[in-house]
Amino acid sequence: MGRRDVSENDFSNFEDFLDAWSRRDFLRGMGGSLAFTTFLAGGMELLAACGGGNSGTQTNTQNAKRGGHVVEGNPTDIANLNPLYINDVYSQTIAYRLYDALLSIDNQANLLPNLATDVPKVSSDGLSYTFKLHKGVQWSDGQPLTADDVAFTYQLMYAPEWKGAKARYRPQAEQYIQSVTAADPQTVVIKTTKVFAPFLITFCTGTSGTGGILPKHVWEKLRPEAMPSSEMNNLPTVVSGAMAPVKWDKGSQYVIKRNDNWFRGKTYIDQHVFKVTPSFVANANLLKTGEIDIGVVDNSVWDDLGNSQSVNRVGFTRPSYDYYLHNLDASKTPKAAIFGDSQVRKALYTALDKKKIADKVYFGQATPADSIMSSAQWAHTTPKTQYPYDLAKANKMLDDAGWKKGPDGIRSKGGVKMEWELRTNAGNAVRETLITVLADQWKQIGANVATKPVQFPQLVTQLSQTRDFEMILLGISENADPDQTQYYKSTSIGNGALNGSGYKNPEIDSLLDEGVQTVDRNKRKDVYAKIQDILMQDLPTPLVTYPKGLWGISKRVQNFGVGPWNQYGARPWYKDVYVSDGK
Amino acid sequence: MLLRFLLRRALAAIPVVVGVTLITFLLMHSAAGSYVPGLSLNPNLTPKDVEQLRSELGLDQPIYVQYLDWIGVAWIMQKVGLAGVLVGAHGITPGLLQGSFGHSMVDGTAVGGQIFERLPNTILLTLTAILLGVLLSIPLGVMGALSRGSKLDHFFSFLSIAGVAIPQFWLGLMLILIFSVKFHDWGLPFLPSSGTTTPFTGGDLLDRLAHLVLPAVVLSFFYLAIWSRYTRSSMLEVLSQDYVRTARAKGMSERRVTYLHGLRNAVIPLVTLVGLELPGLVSGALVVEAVFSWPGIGLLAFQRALAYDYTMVLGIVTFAAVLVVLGNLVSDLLYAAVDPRIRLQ
Repeated sequence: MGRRDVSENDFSNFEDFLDAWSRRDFLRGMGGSLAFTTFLAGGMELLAACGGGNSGTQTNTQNAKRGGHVVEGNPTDIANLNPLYINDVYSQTIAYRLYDALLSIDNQANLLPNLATDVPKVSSDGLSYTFKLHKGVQWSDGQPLTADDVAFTYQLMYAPEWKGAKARYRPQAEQYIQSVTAADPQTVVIKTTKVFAPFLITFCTGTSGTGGILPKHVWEKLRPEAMPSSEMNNLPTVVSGAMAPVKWDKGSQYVIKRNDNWFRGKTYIDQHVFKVTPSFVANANLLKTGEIDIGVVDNSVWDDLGNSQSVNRVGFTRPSYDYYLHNLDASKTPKAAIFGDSQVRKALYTALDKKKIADKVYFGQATPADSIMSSAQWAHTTPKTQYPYDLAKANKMLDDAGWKKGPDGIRSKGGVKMEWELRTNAGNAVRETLITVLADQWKQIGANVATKPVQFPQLVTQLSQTRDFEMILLGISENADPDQTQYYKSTSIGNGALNGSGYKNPEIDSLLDEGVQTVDRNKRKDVYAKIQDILMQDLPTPLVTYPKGLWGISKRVQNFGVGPWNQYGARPWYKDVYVSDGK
Repeated sequence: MLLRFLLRRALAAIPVVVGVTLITFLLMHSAAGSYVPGLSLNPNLTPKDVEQLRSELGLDQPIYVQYLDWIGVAWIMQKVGLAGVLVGAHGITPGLLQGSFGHSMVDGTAVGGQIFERLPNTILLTLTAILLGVLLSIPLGVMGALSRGSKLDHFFSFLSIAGVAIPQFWLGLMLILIFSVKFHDWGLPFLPSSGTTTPFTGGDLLDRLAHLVLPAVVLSFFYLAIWSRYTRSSMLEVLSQDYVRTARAKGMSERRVTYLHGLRNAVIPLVTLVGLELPGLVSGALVVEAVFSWPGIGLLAFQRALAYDYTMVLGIVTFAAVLVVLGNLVSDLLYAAVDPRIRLQ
């Protein structure tokens, strides 16, 4: 299978938060405290997913062999596998194999039933969901998995008596969950506090980290305070998913094996090893020698990996983007005088050769951005307002807006010189290159831009708290739901929220509210189309590219249908994965 | 005599270790962003939630209380009823003095457990490399000295300069490219390039050795380069001494002169050098571990530093500091053992 271009497949959604959260940077940023207690985040910094690079869920198991193992390589060891605490994608990849959630999602970020027999319809008041569970589902120790387990798991997150368990999503759960009750052993009723369209995808699919159901008969024996440091967070004893843990050799590998009690039947593979590798670059070598079967590879080695006879490559636009924020808040920076002029923002964006950037900076493994969300989102549209690369036009726009070039070639207007500082997170090679490229391109239209890499925690503090920056370039890994509240709503400025540019637009505010209160997807899509149109005209935070997810998969591994929404979490085709040599 | 020496050295080590813990602790606290960078990033956390989390982590206490808590003094004070002295203290737990390094901020595991789980891997790698380095550098150094100015000597000089000049990561990558990737392409038996064992199937002695070869060679090449130069120059110096001439004048065989009188004296500086590497036995070899994904202490420290896992980094640095002190002590003892002129005082 050759290289894939995503536009052909029209994948959908997902990932999220500052892209720096994903992959290597993820842990870097998380760092801090018992990250699990602190980072409750709204379905945010976690990735997850479903669907397929191989066009989705079409799998062929006619010649499938039973037995054997696969080795998946990641540069980071796991952290915490408990759905209450998960905070990184690698842990989620394993946890998803261990604990089933009520629902799952496919490659378009559509909801799929999982432990529940159907995707529930919301009640007429928009506030409650009734789930019917499959009958005969068993935990790996033979105990039945019932509605009691489900209710217990959610109570750990929202009920006051379990506060000591420090579930990572507690603030969000408290905000949105009214109650979760077991009507009978096969029926769960979830009542929400308000109408919230992203509810099921956020709380019931595991795509944002939470959602996996825990065995009540095991965890209820623990004091809540003992839960965050329980050894079962790393090596669960009782699980419900496709696989069960075998061992964790810290820093080198995590091994899981087939769970014969899985309610969907046995997987073809016996074992799945998650091996810690040196880097995404090294993954390419390890794939070539067969030391790993599956792994994400760096942009720079993608073409070279194509020479290998034993490895298939799967590339697709992943739900993420790299973008830059103008600081529009005059109380925070005098540069708002420059960025506050929408003609300037448009001219700057027009002066960027996004195609060339994608080719050179990303080694061709990115698509130029055309909206304010990635093309992997189901709500993505291409607004009419576009800014194709045109230096002459950009220069003219600035001339017309009254920005005159001085003798040094730098423009100014009313005593304000067109110069500022562009920051990004240090240690991310692509972004560090990107800021110098942007500065260079803007120099050609008379802007003097200094570049400065900053440590990630500092950068995010500047973006979300102090807001004492001029311009920041960052990446976002998107959520499975297209809600943009945290990036553009006027209430999301400061206090840790991500509207760092300080963008305020009453029309956008009300559209964003409408977006999360509209449950019907087609109607929602119209709302988000309007949002994208407006934001592309206003350009508070222009997007540069949609980077690709690049996977190498050994040819001996079949049906591994990785795609934009199922890179790390949901892999609905997992049951059909087999190795052709049976080893 | 020996006992007194040990006692004195142990006492002298205390301020060093305390100083290291203090400096490390303060550096960590002044690190980029807040002490808990993730804390302020969550859009759904109200300032009240953040306060509560900081309180749960003990970050609202005065810094000296946090330090005393971490090293375990606060715990002792609490036991003897002095907790009142620590204004603003709460949630005091056993610390370093009680043998507890605390829990990782990233995955919640015990820091001590992580360290001791990685320790065997690191010792295996560094000890192999040091042994290889010693075993090869002495004969190379001696041969170089005995054939000073010859083509062989020049070749050895070239090797050792290369060993010092070539960055370990580059050498590692080149060896991986050749002995792993290319050998695989050519259909030859190839060496694995990451980890300590083959996942799933591996784990027997041969498999472990195969995984050890590349990282150990890279690491020992560096040792070899330095130590063989020292051996060579030290040997040259010794061979020009009066007592060597006397030995020759007595009619002693050249072989006995070289090895009995020459080498025995020439390796003394080498003992110091090797002794200095002893802390590396446990602190790990960061670059090599990172290139080969060798699950050792060095890699752990590196990854956790990037992840802002403060407790883990503090634990590792403290652990390594204690071992540096111990390593120097062992080196002093060895020095006295090989050189009767040096007395422990």
